[in-house]
Amino acid sequence: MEEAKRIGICREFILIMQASLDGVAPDEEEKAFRSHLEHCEECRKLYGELKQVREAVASAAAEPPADLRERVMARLQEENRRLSVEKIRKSKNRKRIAGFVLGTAALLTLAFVGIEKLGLLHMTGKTADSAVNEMAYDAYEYEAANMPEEADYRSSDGEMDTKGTVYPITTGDMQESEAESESEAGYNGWDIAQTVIKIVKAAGIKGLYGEVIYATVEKHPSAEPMAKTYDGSCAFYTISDFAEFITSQKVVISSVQYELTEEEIRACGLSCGGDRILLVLDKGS
Amino acid sequence: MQKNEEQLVARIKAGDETAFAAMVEENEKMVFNVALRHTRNYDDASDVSQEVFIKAFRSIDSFKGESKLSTWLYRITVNVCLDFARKNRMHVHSIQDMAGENEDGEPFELPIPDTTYDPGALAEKRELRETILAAVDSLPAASREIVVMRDINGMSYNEIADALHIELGTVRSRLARARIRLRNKLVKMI
Repeated sequence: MEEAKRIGICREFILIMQASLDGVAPDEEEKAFRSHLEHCEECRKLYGELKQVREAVASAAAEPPADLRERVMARLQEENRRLSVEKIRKSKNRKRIAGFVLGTAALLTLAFVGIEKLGLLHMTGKTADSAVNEMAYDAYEYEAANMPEEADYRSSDGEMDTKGTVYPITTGDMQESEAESESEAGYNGWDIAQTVIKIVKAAGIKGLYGEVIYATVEKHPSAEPMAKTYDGSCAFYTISDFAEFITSQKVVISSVQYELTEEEIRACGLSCGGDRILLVLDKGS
Repeated sequence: MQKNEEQLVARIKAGDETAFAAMVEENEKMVFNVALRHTRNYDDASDVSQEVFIKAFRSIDSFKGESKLSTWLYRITVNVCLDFARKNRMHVHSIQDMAGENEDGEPFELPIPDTTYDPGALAEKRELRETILAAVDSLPAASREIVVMRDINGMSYNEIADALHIELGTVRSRLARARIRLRNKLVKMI
């Protein structure tokens, strides 16, 4: 009984021992701990050993390469130059699409004016203007959808660049997101994790490299996005937007804050090991 | 967030590359050591570190100042490391803890020679350093993480709690477990 009690006391002091080693134990705890050390040889020995281990590990810290900073700055400048080239190219493409749309609209206007004169449009209830707008918009969508991907991704030296790709920001419909938010009110990080895992699994995404995303759990109602890409270029206000993005872009989700346990992963029907799916979740303010 | 850091972040958000370079200089050791402990390769850690700072610059607008800049960078570093591991098909797994205690009853001492002029001592010191790092690398992921954060990078308990979203008490208990595990491993290795 005495031995068990003694071990119980030492266990309690082991936690204080860490704080004392790091010089952050509150005064009262430090005093009690020091007093304990005077009577407990085992704790005294362990304290000395842990102090040596701590100092040894600290001394083993590596120095980064001397030119790391220079390399980072050089890379930043190179990427900025490449992004400028892409911006110019996209600007030229937008003008090309606009030219196509205007050209199409002009032709359609002529066509619909002709049709209207024949009285056919009255059957559909459309005016010439609205019909032209619709068809011009469809033409724009078709062109945008069929734009060769190289125009977006290829840099000036012809290399495919999947990093730093700029996606359009999808703000979604705030009313819709608020309505969805209400149904999701009170959701926690684990709920989000489960939802995203289901989506990823359903999409068959496995071990493919892509943009790193983190999802922000926000209080409701909130104008802040629930998830966004790391470079801030793309934001999602609803789960459906987020799902659409990750299924279309072959995204890998990696994480630090909510590392799922093996049990949790198995509960989602996924395997553990190399294809472990983790989520990055930041608590909202 | 302290005022100096606030000003630095504001300048980086405005696109000031000099401010960004200052941020790199202040945090490169922490970032590099976290990367090194994940990748276990000097060159890969260097590549990962570069990636971390570029991502930080690109997403600086998302930094709201609710935590320290170093904590935010730490999170980015771990994310990039995980991404790197997945890209290179490295398995992220935890090594089973080899629980054990020194039952010899002998005093445990860690000899650390203190001389810069003795080549033999230098080699011994290098070997010792490698032994220590091998022991750190063999810890379970959660233990390794907290030892790296506290004992290699010198992060405070509050910073660790903030970065890992855990309570201060949990920091203490994880650190206790990690350090004792490390001590047990080193006893076997030395």
